[in-house]
Amino acid sequence: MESYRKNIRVFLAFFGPTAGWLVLFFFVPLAIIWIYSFGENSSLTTIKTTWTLDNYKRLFEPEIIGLFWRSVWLSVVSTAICIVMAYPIAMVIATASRKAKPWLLLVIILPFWTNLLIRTYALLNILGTRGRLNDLLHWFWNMGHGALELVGLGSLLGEQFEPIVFLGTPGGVMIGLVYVYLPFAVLPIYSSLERLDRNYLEASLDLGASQWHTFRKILLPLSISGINTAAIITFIPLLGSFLIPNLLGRGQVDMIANVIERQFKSANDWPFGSALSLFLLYITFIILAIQSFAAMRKRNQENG
Amino acid sequence: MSEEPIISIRGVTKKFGSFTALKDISIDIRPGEIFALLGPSGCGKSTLLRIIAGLETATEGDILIAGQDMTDIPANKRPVNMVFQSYAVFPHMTVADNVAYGLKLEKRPKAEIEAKVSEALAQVHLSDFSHRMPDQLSGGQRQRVALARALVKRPRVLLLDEPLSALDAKLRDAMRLELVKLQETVGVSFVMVTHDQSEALAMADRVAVLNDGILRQLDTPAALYKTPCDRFVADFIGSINMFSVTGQAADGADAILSVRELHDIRLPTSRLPAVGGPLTIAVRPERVRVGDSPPDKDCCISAEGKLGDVAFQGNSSIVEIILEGGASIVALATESEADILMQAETGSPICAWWNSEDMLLLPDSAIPGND
Amino acid sequence: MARKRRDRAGPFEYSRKLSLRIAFLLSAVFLYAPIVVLVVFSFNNSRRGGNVIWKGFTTKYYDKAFHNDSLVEAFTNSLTIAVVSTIFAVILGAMTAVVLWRFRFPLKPVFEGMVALPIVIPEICMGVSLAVFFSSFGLYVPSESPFPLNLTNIIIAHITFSFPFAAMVIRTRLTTFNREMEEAAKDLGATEFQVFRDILVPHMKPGLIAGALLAFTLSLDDFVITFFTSGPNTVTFPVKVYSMVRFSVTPEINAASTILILVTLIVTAVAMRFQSFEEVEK
Repeated sequence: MESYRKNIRVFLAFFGPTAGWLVLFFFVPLAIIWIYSFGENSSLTTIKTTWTLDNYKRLFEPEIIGLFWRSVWLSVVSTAICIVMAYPIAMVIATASRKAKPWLLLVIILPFWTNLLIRTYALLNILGTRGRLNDLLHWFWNMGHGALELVGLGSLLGEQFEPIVFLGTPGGVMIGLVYVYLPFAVLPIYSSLERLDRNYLEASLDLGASQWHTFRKILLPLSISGINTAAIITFIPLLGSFLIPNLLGRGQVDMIANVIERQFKSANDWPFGSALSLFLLYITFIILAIQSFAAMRKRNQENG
Repeated sequence: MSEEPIISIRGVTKKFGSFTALKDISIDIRPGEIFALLGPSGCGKSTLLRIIAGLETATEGDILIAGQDMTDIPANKRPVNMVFQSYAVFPHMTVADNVAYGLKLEKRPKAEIEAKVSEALAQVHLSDFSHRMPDQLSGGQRQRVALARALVKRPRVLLLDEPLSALDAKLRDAMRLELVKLQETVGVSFVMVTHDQSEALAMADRVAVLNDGILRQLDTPAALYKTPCDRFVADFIGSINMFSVTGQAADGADAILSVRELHDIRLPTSRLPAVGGPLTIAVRPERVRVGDSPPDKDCCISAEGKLGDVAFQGNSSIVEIILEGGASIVALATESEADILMQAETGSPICAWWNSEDMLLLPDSAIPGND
Repeated sequence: MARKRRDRAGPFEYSRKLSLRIAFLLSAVFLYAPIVVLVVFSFNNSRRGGNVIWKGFTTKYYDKAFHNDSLVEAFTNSLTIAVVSTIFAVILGAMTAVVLWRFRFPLKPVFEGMVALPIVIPEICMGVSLAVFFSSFGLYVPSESPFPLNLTNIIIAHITFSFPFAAMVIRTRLTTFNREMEEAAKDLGATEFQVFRDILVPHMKPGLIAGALLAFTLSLDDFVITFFTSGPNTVTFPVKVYSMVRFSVTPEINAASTILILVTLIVTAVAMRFQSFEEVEK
């Protein structure tokens, strides 16, 4: 690497445009909503910056606190489900034969490259009260009902199949969130398992540990960094997700992004929308800061 | 030989798809010996070790440990423990926790575990390191942790996969001695895998030489060196001069061998190996004498050539004799011989000779039907 | 006597364990079933939106989708935006990668963090801030401006969120560059620019391609940021589908979606081709 001074013209030719673009189209817009977050609507279309804190105070209204709480727990639970589902997937891919590995990876990554809107829309088809999932459940119900009737317990499953309502419920939104963000969780866990020396597992077995004990005491602790990365990389976009709660929640399971969108698109309360956006941004930063701090501490420990 | 073997490998074959890694291997390992599996990389020796440990399943054949069939016993229930080539010291546990890992699984009382761990760490001179994490240790120290961790389980046999290959040269020599001493102290059999013949010869009581999944020879180090059974073993163990026999004729009770690089060689037919096929004559460099001419032409085999490089090695020197046609003979010259040779100019005519009895007659393979 | 036995799975060959194979299979079904259902029902001959019941095979909804002018326009817009923003994103990304790879300069970690920010911040924040930015500076390019100038705002937004991804990919490629090649070229008399053109760019090529494909997919995929930066007359395909879904679910959307999935598959196949070429080159 060379000092920028040694070749300042080349440096500026490369640095200038990128830094300029980033400042103009990324940081200036963020600065504007930061300023707007201290403003108030003086008329329907104009905003006056009065450096009021009212927009931030509104974040503590019970309604908004409830919104945050719902967003956070939906994201936490969905992240946890993603990781629990991703771990076995990653185990299979990491130990697959060299020929099968890229194909198995592709199976997981391909949906991730498919348009998010289309995937969410596809779920609408599945999750409706008369959707495919309820069709499937109905079929199971019929089978179960028939079997139970044979042994004289026909009433156990009720008189009639009751379709489960997914759309507009937290459960439905959660299915959507897991569906969309599962591939995010697989890749970091996969790469940490891939890097893991198989001798550690064999040594554990050789010393008398069972498969399960080896999984708990060796495999899991040694892949914890992959799990952490997976959790962060899944949780951050989950918390800010807009489309899934919008389409699958039908306005009844709003997350932060849905309320932000409403401030800009229908309620026309830009200052409050800005404050909400920045709040979401700060949460993201705090999570990232905690993670890099933990990573730094771990590195220091290893070096010291 | 009346002693019952501690490990009995019976007709083990291992196939990976269409590739045969091990072909019908049968070996008995005696209690209390250091046994080396020696061979070039890819010869199947590590696979055999892993089959003994239960980490790999044999396609055919059985492993008996202390007389018990191990076929259906998984790795975690076998009375053997392994020191891995990469040591596989668990990076997220302290040295003491690593050593205690196997004991905790046996659900031993805490005090007993602690006592055994500190005893094992003392044995490998790591008592002061018990609370260190593995990444704070050197390679040699990590290997000691792996040793202590395996030995603390009191295995019937300790398996070592290339135990010295990851260490630097100086540490390697010290560790050779230490491993042998450790084995004498604990008394259990060691089975080690190595690709380094000098390591196997220096440490092991008996050595099995493997190549391409086939057991070529199983013997003591001295016997392997003095009487290798075939061309591969002779070439792999120590250094040796070898010449292919190009023709063979009978003359009464004698056989006359023609070799492109040398004069015809007359030998009693009884000295020829039992198996047929191509023959090689071979002679160790320390058996080759050099000088102006051999003292007694009749009992010697001699070759004339030109003096090549002389490499001084202290009390001996390695001398290269270049024969007509470009082939060369390497001789280990004594100090007095070397003194004379140092005077001579490179390229000056010189003679190499050796006693007929010192010469080995080797088949390509001692096993009928192979190669 | 030696017995023959079946080759058992090793203790850690998880990919050969039945339970884990089933887990993998179920996850794959979970990921693909909705898409498969969508594709299958795009051929469903049912007028009713919810397409609940299979009413026979038809391709008429593809026909309908192809003749839906606003849908075709949205599709054209999406592809135009993707192509233009990809070109800019790769150029900016390559420049960023070269700066970070080649130079030491004050506050470099800060700049590195700044470049990574668009990758990590929630999409909605970026969408909202860009929408406010364009409107408050009066930078909204009038929707009536001739195509493709009317898409300028969306293109700017797409470049902004995709070039850091391209930079990341290209930078990874640059780490494998041997600086002695550059020195050798200079030693042989190449100027700074000639070194860049003849040595560095050819080395970066696989990274540039990978970065371009990533930027292209990201652009095609984006909904949230586009949703905030698009005007009523500059609608992209996802935004159009979104508004259609809000009214009703029709087989026409299924058909249109299937086409987009196909486009994605083709781009992926091309990407894989390039990658396998790269391996062959090595």
